[in-house]
Amino acid sequence: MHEKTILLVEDNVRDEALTLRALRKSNIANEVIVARDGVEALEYLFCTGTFEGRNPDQKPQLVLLDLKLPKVDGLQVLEKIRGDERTRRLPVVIFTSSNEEEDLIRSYNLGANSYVRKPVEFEKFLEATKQLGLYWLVLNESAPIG
Amino acid sequence: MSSDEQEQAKGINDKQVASNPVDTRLPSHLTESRLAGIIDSAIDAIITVNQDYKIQVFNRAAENMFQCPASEALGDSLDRFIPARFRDTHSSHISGFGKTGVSSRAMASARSIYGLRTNGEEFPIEASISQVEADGQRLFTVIMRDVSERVRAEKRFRQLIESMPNGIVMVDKSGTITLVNEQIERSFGYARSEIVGKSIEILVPMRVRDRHHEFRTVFIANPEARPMGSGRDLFGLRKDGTEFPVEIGLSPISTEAGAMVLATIVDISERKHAEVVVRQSKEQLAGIIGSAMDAIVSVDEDETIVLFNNSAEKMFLYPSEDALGKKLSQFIPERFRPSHNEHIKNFGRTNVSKRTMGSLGAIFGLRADGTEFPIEASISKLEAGGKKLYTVILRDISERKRVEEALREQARILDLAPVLISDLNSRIVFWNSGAEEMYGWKADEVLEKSSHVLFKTEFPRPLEEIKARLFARGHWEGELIHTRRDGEQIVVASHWVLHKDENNKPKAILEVNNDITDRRRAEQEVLRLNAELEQRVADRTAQLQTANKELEAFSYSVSHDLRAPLRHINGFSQALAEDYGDSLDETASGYLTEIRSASQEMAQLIDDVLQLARVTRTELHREKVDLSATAKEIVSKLKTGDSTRVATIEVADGLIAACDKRLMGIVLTNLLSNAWKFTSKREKAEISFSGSSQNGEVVYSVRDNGAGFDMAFSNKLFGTFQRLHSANEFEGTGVGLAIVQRIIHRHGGRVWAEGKLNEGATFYFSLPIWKEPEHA
Repeated sequence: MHEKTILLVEDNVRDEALTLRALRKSNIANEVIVARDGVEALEYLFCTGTFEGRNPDQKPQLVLLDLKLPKVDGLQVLEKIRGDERTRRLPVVIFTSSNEEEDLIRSYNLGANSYVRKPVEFEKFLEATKQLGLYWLVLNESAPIG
Repeated sequence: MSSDEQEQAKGINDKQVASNPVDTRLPSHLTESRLAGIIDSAIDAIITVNQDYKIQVFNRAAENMFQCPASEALGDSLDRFIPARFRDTHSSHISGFGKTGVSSRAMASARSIYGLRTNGEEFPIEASISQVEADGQRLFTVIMRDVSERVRAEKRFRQLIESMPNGIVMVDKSGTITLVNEQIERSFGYARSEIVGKSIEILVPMRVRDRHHEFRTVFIANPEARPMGSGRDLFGLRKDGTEFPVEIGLSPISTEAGAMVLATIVDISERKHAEVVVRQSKEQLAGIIGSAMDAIVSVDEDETIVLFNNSAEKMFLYPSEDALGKKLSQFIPERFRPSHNEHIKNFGRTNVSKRTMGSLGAIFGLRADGTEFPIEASISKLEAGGKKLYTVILRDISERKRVEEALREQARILDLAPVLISDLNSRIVFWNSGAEEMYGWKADEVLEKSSHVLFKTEFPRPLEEIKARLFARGHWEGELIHTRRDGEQIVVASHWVLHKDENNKPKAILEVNNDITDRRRAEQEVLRLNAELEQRVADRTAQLQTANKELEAFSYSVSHDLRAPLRHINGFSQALAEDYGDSLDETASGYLTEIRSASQEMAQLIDDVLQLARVTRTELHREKVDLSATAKEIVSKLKTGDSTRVATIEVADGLIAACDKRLMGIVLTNLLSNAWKFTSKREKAEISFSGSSQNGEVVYSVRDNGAGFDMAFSNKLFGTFQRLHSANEFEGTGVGLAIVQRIIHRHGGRVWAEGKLNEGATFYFSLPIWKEPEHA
């Protein structure tokens, strides 16, 4: 039995709280694993470090990746994800407050599946989250695990 | 047969004398001895012969005449005193005479008869014969005169007449020609036998014969020696019908034959011809003088003008009739008169017959109107009839002097440019003062030297190549480096021209050089400054770029970092409102709403400011942009954003501009969103976007029928953070138009707006017209 999980890579506690709330309000009940920075995210994905011993087959259904992260930033994480055979096809949605065009281009260049800006207005934030969740968890056909 | 003999043979020309029978009775006082004395003392020879032809009487005169004593002659035949050839005729004449009843008559008075002296000499005689009967015998008496002298005189006269070079005609009272000479024969073409005895009129042209006849009559009435027909042209008529001009002199002559007129006739054809030639040449000369372009003035020894031709008239503006008789000095400016007079006098004294008058220096003429003009003159001297005649030929050389001066001026100017001419081996053959000035060498120092060696010329390409070019095209231009005499190096712009001779063979090279050292130096300085400037610009740009990058990084992190807290403020307020809404009263809920609005505003502000900064520093990328298409995209986004709105939006087609696509997109977005925003309260919004080209730029306008604005505050419209409406009426940060202005200004255009409160607004911006970029 495989559970659909969401990996949320987000350094900001408040943003984390709001995102989780938004997911809840969108009736998305999947488990959400939160990584605080790029290192944690990678450790989780590749079952190293803190997450040593975790089952590597247990991959998240969706990665919500913020760009501005301490230590290793979002794009580097993305690069690593796309660089490894095991995680190459993981759906990664860049979820960031940046609206710099360069970030957009670079994200897509590195193989992000989608790029969504975090709106300031919470309503919109909520809406965006809901749509994200519905699409990636329900509608979209992900690549088969394995 | 001589004419004399002819005449003698003609026979006796009888002149009948009164033929009374001779009374032989002598008057009583005439005794025989007295009679004999009379006969003997007679001057004329008296010979009497009987009918047997024997001499009975032979007087002393006869003795002398015939050189024979009477004793010998008496009883002899008369024949002995007659030349042999005449004897027969003579005797028959005598017997013939005897048979007539005539008593005496002259013998052959119109012809010459001859006697024969004892010594055999013949001589002409004049004789008369008479017959008398006495005692039954017939006696013939011949009285003779030796007319040798007379005949000789006559002969001399005739010879004289004959020898005259003029024609001589002797005419008697009735106009009959009695005598002509050889010259007459020659002039008129007749043999004298054809005209002697004829009327003189045959020598006169038909048309004047009557008048001539009259004239003769008048002359005969009053004969005096004079030329005929003075003032009239007289003509003679030749045998062949042709006429020729003559001059005739008449003199009356009395001869034994009566009053005659001696006319001398001179054939003046040649003279007349000569006269015609002279007249023609005179006319020709007058024509030449009259038509000569130079002025011709002749003066006598006193300097009085005797000739002043047409050209002199025109030159001095003085009619020639008036000039004649005036003094030459009148036509010379006063200050030159004394030396001029001196000059003429000296010239008159010399033996030289002509010379040019230039040796005095510039001479001037003085016109009738007082103006002076430069002249060239030559003077010649002629002596005629003991008097000196001076002829001056003048030419007005004002024009020539002008041209000469112009040429001299030209030459002076040309001499300013450095010009040298070298032969095909580059040896200098000509060096002007401009070259002297530029290089420092005098002409004599450079002639025959090779120019390239002299200047130590540095060529841009091999000399052979240059020469080849020169020969092919006829000219060459280029820059050379020359070294002056003082060692200074100069850069010259050299222009070479190939000179060819008449056979089109290259002969020499003309070289004109311009010292462009200063110009080169200036150019190099400019280049150096430019390079320096570019370096500075590059440095500054690098600085700016660095600054920009820093700014960019800054604004990136700023925007990101500023937005996050906003998001949180908003998010948690919302969470609060949603999760604890029930325990909050209206006021509390209201506060939360305010918190949320404020955070949203701030977010917008951050975005706008970021955009403003970006718009300022970003590079302008001009390309051909279809603004109509861009506007339509924006409009459709607006409409989808709020589909409930009723709006008519017109976007004009074909609005193409040279601009940065992204930035103009921002401009149109801002303007159209504004229009959309400020018409939101209208039932039916009307928005239009159009453009028109005027004066080298295109003016675009976004018009709406929305809230409008008070023109009094129009200057605040485009200021940053400036708003003319409160946030309650219309939300907005007041940065949008500042962004529009910043972008349009960067494109080199202008922005402005017109509006009226509640009646809408029109925002204009201009862009320079699209020009195709030039391809290098």
